[in-house]
Formats: sequence, C-alpha cells, structure tokens
Amino acid sequence: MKHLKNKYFINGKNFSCELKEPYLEDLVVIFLNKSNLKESKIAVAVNNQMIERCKWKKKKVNFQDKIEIVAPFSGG
Amino acid sequence: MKSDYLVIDGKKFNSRLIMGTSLYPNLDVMNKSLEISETQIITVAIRRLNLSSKGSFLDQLNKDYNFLPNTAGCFTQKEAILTAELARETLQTNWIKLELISDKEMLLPDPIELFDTCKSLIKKNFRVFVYCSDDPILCKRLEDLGCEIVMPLVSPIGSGLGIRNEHNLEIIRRICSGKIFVDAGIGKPSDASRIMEMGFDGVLLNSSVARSLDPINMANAMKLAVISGRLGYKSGIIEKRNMASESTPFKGKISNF
Repeated sequence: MKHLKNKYFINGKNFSCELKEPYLEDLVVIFLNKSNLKESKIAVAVNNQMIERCKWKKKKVNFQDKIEIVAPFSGG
Repeated sequence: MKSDYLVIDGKKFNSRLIMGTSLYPNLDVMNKSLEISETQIITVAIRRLNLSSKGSFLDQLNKDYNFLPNTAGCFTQKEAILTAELARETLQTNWIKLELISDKEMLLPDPIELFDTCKSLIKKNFRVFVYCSDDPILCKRLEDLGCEIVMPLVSPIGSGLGIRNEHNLEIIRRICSGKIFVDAGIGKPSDASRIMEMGFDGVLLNSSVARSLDPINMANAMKLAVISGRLGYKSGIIEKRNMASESTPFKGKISNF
C-alpha cells in the first residue's frame, strides 16, 4: 500500500514526508535523516509544548501541528 | 588567595568569569579565547536546528564546559519558559540565563514580565541566572525570590559603554547578600576589574572579547582583570581621604632650610 505524502510544519517551514503512522519520533528521524537519535542534542516542541524525548515514540502528530526542533547554538 | 571558590548550585568554580560564545570571527578564535580566559561556564542559545550546518555547535568546542543556556530574544513569559524547558531537555541542566527583553533596539529587560517569569521558572526547579536592569530594589526582590544569581546590566547588551551608574551598582552590592554578577555592557578590562573591586561575585561578558581586534588577548586581559579586581576587593581597599597622608614619615628628614 502506498502512503500519501503528508505535510508537516517544522521549524517554520512546510515539510513533506511519508509516514505510516504519524508519530513524532518517526517524523524527527526523517527530518534529521538520522536513524539513531540517541546522540543528538536536540529538543522538540509541538504546538509550544516541550515534549520529553521519552514520549516521542507515542506522541501522535497532526498535519496542522507546529513542530520546533532545536539545538544549542552559540549565544551570549 | 586560597579557597576563594565561587559556589554555584553546590558546585565549586575557580573562575569568576562567564563567557558568551557568540560573535567570534571563527570557531578556532572562539575556542582559543575561551581556553585562555580559563572560564568554566559558557553561555549558549537555543535555536532551530540548522540542517545545513556541519555537526553540532557543542561538538566543535575543544574543552568541557558547564553550559548556561540563555533565553535570548524572548519577549514573553511563554517564550522564555518554553525555551528554558527545551534547553533543559537538550543540555540536561536546570541552569537557565533568563533574558526577557522589552524591545529590539535597546534589548533592555522587561522587569515586570521578568519577575513573574522568574517565579514560574523557580517553581519548575530551574536555577535562574537572571539578567535584569540595575534597579537595586528589583535586584533585591529577585534575590529574595530565590534566583541563583542576579545579574544586573552595567549598560545595554553589546554597547561596550561600561559602567554607567556606579552608584546603583554600589547599592545593589550593599543590599544583596547573595551572588551578584554583572551581565552586559562591559567594554574594557578596567570595567571588569572595577566591578570585582566593588565586591561583585563575577562578570559575564561576550561582545567585549569577541568583537575586539584580538579576541584571544582580550580574553586573557578580561581574565586578569577579574582576578585583579577580586584580589583587590579581598585584600581590603583603603578608604578615600580628602587630604594627603604622607607615606614617607617626616621624622628623620635632614633639616628644614
């Protein structure tokens, strides 16, 4: 069965991908193009709510959700 | 000066200089500047992941540091709390440098929004390093609220204007018994030294080093300035007098012609 490409809104831009089940962890894996997220120093918010990493697997995402994937950066 | 540790959140630090990591000409200069400064705590921002950048910012640091994430650019309590929570998740630290600004031109802190946000963050078990205006009463109220470190500005962020209201800073140091740093506005090493001579616990700076012509040497100068000022303060600076007071006694002088 072919999955339809769905649109998500990540870091202020539309992002299209195919997901069998729309779970946050799968979406992050595809967005980062990384199979292993363990070493990634990132954090994720969905609709302005921080989602703990341990909850990514079970967190369903919807097309209209506003997803932010952040990381530490230089700052003063 | 033995045992003059700075204790933050139960951890001992030798350095009283917190360094920012922004605006350096390149990563190599940044790394060398941080190293020569002997800082043990560096600030970082939390920003959207940039997929086109090579490796993470943290991977490009050549030494281990304690991270102090900031909420730079936040205008509201909601933004600041979410940024703090994202910082805690990614860096596994309860420390947060709370910046809650009121405008883009002066980047001055919004004291009312700031106070309420501090309350919320402390309730959420954050150790708050609060960047605030140099209002003595506000600083005292933030200290009483339970902020880990209160950090009044000496002048606007990145201005390099140095100490603009020394009188307020003197009052802040007198009425606040906890840890007080200054954050923002330091321009030259003598500013940092003066702050430390006044009995402040430390200095947080970024632009004065990163934007100087020679950041590595300026980082060294700032380190020495902080150490020098602290040594001076701990050694007991003499009181000022209006009249002269001879250092060489008149006694034993050959004669009066």
